[in-house]
Amino acid sequence: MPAFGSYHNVIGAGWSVYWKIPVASAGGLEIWWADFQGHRVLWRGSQPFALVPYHGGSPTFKDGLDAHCGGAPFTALKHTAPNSMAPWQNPGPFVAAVDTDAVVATTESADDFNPARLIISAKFQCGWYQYVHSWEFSSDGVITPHVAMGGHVHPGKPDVAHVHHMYFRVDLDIDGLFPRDVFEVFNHNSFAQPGGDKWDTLNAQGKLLHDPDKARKWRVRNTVAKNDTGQFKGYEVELPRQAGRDQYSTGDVWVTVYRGDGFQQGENVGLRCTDVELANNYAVGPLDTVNGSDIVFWLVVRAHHEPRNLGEEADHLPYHYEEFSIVPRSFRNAKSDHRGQG
Amino acid sequence: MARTHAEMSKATKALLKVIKPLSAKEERTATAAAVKHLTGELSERYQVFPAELRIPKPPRPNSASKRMIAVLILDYEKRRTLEVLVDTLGKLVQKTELRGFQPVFLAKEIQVARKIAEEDKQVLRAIKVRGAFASAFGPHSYGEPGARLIGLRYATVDRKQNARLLGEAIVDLSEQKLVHFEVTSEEEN
Repeated sequence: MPAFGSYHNVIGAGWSVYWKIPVASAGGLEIWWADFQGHRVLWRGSQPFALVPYHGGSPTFKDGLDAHCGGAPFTALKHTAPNSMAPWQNPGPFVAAVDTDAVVATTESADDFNPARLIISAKFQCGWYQYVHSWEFSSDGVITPHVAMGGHVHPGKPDVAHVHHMYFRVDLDIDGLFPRDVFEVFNHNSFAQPGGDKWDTLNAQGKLLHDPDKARKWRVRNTVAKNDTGQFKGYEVELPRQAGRDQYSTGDVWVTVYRGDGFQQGENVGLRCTDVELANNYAVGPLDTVNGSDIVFWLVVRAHHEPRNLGEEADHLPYHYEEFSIVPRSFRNAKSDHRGQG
Repeated sequence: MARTHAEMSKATKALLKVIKPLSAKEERTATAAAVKHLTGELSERYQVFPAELRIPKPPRPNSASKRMIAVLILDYEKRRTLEVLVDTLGKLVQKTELRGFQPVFLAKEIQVARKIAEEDKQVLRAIKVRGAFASAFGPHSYGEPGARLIGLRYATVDRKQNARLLGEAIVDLSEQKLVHFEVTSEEEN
């Protein structure tokens, strides 16, 4: 079996999921063919790159796939590698020789407070930094992708604050039907009842902005598959906001369509240390609001890091996690057992 | 073939026949075929990356996916990155120029880049420090578009675990030369 690039299946919490670490992308952990209770939800998901601008105007690293601007590729570490400077200083003992050295898949049972969960995690060295990619699949149908930063602060700028803009690429195929999905934007405009909340369907690919004041969220909704109450099946995207947009990271969500699995994966983005290529080159073209399209969206999870280099982060960065959620809406049946449908 | 489970969709069960890991023979066949398909297009200096299994979406939800193999080839002299997609028999499916894309740095490329950089006297002087090491990074664009550029960040860590950057080198593997080196000053540390 090749050391990297194979698909590995894990089962748990009602999910069947494949994971993969590609051979040559440097873009970290990939999730493939995530099915919930016998129904396809996700074709592929990944967090292939990050933009990391520092205060003072330089540097602005593009880390991960197609690293630029001083950024570094994601190199898979053994999952036992320490969160310290050691894997940067001397990678040999810590770099994963095969993908199964890197990835840990665990299942946690439901308890009095949480549903059962299937969790797939791996850590990656990136210069002096480390990134953890961790995807959690819950028995209530929710997917929660996490990304953590660890390792060590910039050795030359240990006290300089910076922002981690971490870009996810998500290709949902609701109930396995494609190209039959539309992309919708939710706004809570007022407390009028009814009509205070509104969903709008996008008719074109493009860049979208968050607005927490409007409880803004997004949805990939199928135009064909319905549950047993006649509701179109869909998955919503909920994105907490820990930091805002800036001149480097200019949007929150980009809606595109599937153009293959070897193209538009994050390459040729960040050539000038910004994400403008996502809007200018990736998210371009119409969407079919009636029959649906094969939707792929990009999304940014952010964290502003004010280093605690004279205290808690003096010798290493404790892993700091950020996340977003992909939440089912009318994906499951209300009246009958879900497993028997479709 | 992997076991099926109740959690799997029909679409995933239909993939089980095509997603088993690549065999060494498949990898050899695909790599040789990819290079052959580029006959006349490649310069004398190119790098073939390890082949990778690729399962494209089927044309329709209920049709079968095909087992394909992607071979990435970087041509140093022509400054091109090409992906050749072949089937399991080596038949060409698609050829894509990934203009500007820099794939992961291979260990042997980093070795070559270090050798080139460390032949420079200024570099040698800057890194003549106990425990000096190098890590690779992706530099800003430099020179002709598509050049294979490898950044090398030299650093050292003292006994008290204080890290210090020594300098940054940029090696152009297309030109096989050091194109930039900057010593990291005490103030910058």
